[in-house]
Amino acid sequence: MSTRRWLRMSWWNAVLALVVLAGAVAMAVLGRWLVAAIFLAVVVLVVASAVYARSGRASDLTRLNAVEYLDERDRAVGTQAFAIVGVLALVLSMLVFILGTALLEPDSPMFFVLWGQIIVLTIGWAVANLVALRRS
Amino acid sequence: MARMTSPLDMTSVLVMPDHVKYAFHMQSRVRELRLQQALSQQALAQALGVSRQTINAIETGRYDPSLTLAVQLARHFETTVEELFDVDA
Repeated sequence: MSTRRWLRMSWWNAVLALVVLAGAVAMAVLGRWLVAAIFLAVVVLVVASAVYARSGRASDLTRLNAVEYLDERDRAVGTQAFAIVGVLALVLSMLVFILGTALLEPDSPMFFVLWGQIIVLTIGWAVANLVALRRS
Repeated sequence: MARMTSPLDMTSVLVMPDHVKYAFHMQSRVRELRLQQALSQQALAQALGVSRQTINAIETGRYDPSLTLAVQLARHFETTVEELFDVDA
């Protein structure tokens, strides 16, 4: 994940922090103060871990866990790790799909979720292959 | 490092020997040239804009640098990529 110098964190962490911050604001507006406080704590944690990972004192494992890649090796290892997570997600989703098909009532709305998850993951895989090939 | 194994030693199945693990990585003279210049891994890493762990991984043969980084390393040590890395090792 590329990093803007002025941002001091990757765009990945910036987007994550902004989304959770928006969630915290929404919860505060709805008067759910405890959830808002938890969301705010998550934002602080994300920003703090990103800044620490960028500080130069962090290990390579800390940088990878914080998604703050410093150089080509970090990016290569990070890509490999995310690829493994992707395979795991595909296998587990297929398992949940099979179990859901066997166990759920035929008119259950959860079928839409299971089908949607499998379809989105499969399309995502195909698009990822295409993008990876184009960039290689 | 060679491991002494017995028929009941299951760790030999789980642990990949170094000569297999590193079979597809290049050997380099980065450590040798860095020490000649009395540079620390951190100093070399800062000069090239990479992490200290990346320099260590290249020196120990755990990571093959990209062509760009290989050329940058060669330029830093005022040598050629072929002099710096041995793909036939």
